[in-house]
Amino acid sequence: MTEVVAIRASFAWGGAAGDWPDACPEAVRARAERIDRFGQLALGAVGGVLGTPFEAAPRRDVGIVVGTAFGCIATNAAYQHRLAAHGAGGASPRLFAATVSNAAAGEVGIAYGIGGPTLTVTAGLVSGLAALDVARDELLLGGVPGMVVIALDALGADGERWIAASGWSDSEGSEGALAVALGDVPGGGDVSAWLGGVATGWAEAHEGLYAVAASAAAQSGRALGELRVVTCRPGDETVVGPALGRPVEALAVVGGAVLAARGLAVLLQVVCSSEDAVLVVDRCPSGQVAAAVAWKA
Amino acid sequence: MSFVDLSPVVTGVGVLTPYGPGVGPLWDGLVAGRATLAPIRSFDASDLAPRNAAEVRTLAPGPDRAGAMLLAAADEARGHAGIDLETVSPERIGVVVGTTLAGMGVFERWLGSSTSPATRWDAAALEPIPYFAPAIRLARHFGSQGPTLTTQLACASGTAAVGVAAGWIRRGRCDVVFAGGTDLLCRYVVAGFNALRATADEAKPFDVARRGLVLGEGAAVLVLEGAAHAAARGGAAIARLTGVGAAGDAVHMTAPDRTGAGAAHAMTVALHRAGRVASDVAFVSAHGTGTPYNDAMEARALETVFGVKGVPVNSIKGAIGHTLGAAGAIEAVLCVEVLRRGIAPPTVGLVDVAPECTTLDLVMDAPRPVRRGPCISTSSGFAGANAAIVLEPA
Repeated sequence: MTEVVAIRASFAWGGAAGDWPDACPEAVRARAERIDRFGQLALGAVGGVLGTPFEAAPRRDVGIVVGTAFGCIATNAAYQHRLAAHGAGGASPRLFAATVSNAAAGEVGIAYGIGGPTLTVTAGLVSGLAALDVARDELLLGGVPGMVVIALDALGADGERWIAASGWSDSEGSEGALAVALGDVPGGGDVSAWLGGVATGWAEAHEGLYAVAASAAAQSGRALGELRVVTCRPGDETVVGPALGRPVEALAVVGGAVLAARGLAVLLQVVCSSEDAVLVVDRCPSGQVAAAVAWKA
Repeated sequence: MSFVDLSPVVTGVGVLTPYGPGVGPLWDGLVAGRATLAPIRSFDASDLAPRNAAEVRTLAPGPDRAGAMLLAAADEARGHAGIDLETVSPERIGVVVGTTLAGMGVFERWLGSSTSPATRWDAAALEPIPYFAPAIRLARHFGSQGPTLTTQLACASGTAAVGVAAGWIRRGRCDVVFAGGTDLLCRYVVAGFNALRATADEAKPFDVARRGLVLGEGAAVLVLEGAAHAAARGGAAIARLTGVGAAGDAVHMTAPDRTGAGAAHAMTVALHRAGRVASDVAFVSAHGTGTPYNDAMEARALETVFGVKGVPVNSIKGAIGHTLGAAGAIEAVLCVEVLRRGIAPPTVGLVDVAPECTTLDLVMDAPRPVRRGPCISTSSGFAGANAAIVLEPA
């Protein structure tokens, strides 16, 4: 028996602090102006999905899952620089409070009145699909009826320098956020797609990649051969294709969704433009792999 | 049709704490009421005030302290579970680790080195920095290829990790999951909590004289399996994980919701999912940081759920400090030991119960026998995070 979950509205945002989504309420914008970039991106993206905060808040029937590759690394660096420059007296309480990667989820909860299960996860660059997986599990395990999933990263200058020094590359940018309403989220809009399965794994040299893809397909009740397979990052097709034993498509993401958001952006972009059920496979240089199956409503 | 029991059970536990390596020293120290708090020695803390902490002093220095602590705990857990991982398909073995800092100690040094080009940092040296690094190190250590995730829910990260692992077992995603938490002590985090005025030189959970928390470091890992899988391989279940709950306060970024509504909701959800009512619960491992706000909030939350003096409660943070992302995992191990031994350790540091905490039945002064029944471990953290798990006798 397959277990499908509704994908409703989604919104990608990477705009400047003074340039908010139209749907983002003024009170949220005012709050966002006072917090770090990591939190701002989350508030902007969720604003594009939910718009008005919930009135009877905090709502316990909606949860939040944030997937982020590198978390609050930029805020960490800002805090560290002050500490290094000024000693213990330079430790900023305001910055320190934001040096936890779940800070963005906390800001979303406060701004929009969401008090259900809240979690932040990281699985490297595949964190967006990993967050989708966690949210889907929460829905199917009989938790809450609706989840807001946010894929989010804000590297900052030090984060970019560290990525480069680590030998990683993500040529499409260093920050951005994508929010999705999953399940029954009030105000989340009509069903745009059905999520049939998500799986994640880790394997050096990606020998476990086939198992992850097969697991996602099996959850959706479909065979791998029935699915249109799409990869998310430049060069992935040369690894995923041989691992699955079939040709795959490589997609250039429109809109610059980057890092954790890319896998989720590719899934939404392809699903909404395809008549076929789609298997999206995302990879990270750390070895983490994620796959998701969805089809248009 | 055969029935496959996917109920998550705990088959092994392992820790590395300021008491040293192993669950035995942890239990013995807690039962004896020994505190491990002392002036920081592992880095220059001369300009920090307060400067007491609970350090792990049995670990050799190394670049990846969080990862090393995690592996030490995981090795004990695997040995305790008696599991031969060669007999489990790699893609059916999962890893989920809670952490707030991961390699931030390395990041701290790397950032400082930008003005010292003589220090050479290659990709391998930078590998421990990302938040997901400890989980990958553990996956590599065991050769697992299943879901490999890091949970970041501030001081509730460890509890969240155990909760996610339980879900993987219940949904049939994994046969075995190594779930736990790890966090290290570093100047970055001590200075930060000091700046928030959240620290003290002594942690006194629920005490009238409490002034703040004392930081600690450590790691804990639990081996979770499906009940049928454990039975089929001859493994012994030492506890059942029957309920998981979480909720956001949605009120403030550093202070908890003073009504305790979020924490109460997380516990209520966990109980509901376990098919239990509050009066079933035999023991609660509280978050109990020793800060004025947390302990008052938690007293209200526990009263909401359990009533006045409805269940024995303790906190271990007066003994081993607040180990941040490891705390929830260590406290889950504590609950397993309480279930096995039928005794709750006393709350170290608690001498005179605060007026706002007198609604609690606090275990203090000496260990106390507790009846055999469900235990709850509850955790809270920055950004309004709350998580709770229910563990029951096997």
